[in-house]
Amino acid sequence: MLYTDKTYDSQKRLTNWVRTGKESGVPGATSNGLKQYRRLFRNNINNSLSQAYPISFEVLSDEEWSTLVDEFFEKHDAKTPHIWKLPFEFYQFVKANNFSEKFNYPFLNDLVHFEWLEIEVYTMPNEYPQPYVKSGDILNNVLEVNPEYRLTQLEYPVHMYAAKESVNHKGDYFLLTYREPKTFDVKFMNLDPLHVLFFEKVANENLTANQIIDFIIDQNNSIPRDKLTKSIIGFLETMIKEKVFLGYAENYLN
Amino acid sequence: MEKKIKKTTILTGTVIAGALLTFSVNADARPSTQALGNGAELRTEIIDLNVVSSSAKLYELECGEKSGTATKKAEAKPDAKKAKTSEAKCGEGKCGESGKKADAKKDTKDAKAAKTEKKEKTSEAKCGEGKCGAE
Repeated sequence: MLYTDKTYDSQKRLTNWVRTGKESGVPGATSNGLKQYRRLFRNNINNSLSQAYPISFEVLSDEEWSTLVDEFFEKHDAKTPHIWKLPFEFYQFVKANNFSEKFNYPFLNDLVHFEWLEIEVYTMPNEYPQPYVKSGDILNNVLEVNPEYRLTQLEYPVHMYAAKESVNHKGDYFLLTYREPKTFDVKFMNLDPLHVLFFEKVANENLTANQIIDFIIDQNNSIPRDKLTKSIIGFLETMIKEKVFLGYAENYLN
Repeated sequence: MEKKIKKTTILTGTVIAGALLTFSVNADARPSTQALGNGAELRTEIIDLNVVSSSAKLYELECGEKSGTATKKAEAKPDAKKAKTSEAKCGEGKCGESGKKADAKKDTKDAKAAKTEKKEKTSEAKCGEGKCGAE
């Protein structure tokens, strides 16, 4: 059933009041009642966001956090009707509105991104690996990658340092966020750029470790093969132990 | 059967070149790859780091002009932190695991108690937790 124009107008006025706190002339409402409405809604949003972004909540001053929440509540037209999905829109809002510059926290975008990643990976739809076996030749068989991951580049290492300290360590950081099969635990790894190259070659091109080592030495022949191989074996063992690599792809076994 | 190629690279040529050069110059250097643990562990650790750094700042302030607010906040933060770190993040505890839900609820209660102390942010009564309408 369609609203009458009058109902629609009243509803618009009410939502305007709730979101902005500015007098909106809601017909038939008492100012005390209206205050409660705004308080209840605002608290809901604040609770949802502070639980989704506990580190940002800790790092920002009370005033800065309130500014973020208030501006988000007032200016952002949420696309989702689900409150638990709002944190993603909050992340986008913080980025799009340059709060990192406004607050002079260069790390802020990376921080909210990092915090969002945990939720994103935790709630991502199931993805299933190709058939794999547990034993194989670590250098000559194709590894099966756990498909439930996100690989992200960060400028500030907010995953390893206190946020404000991370400003002193600006650089290229690669964060692997993945969901462990069976436990559904979300885990994080900081990856060395060389290992990112390696990881992507395995994940995207289904190459064996030896093929990737050949590729790397082709790119830079001053790299000692024995040391590279040793380093890569250590990396692969860690990735297998951490369940980023699940085993050896059955489709590629001879 | 071939696996399909589905993800694009995030590495730029410069980063690759830099990584290869670094390795060629110092192949014995320990790579920066490091398992950081699960979300809860890492969050706790990072919040601890941030609390240490922010507490230090607050105590510095205390030595200066206005000590009242700084002391209050410094005292309140550890509790608030404890509650927040144990809290389930949004989207968690929705998978039919009753134990997890119970824990999350318990934690929310802890969080409520702790957050009351953090008056600037959450001085108002909680909403959406069965208290609607209550002052």
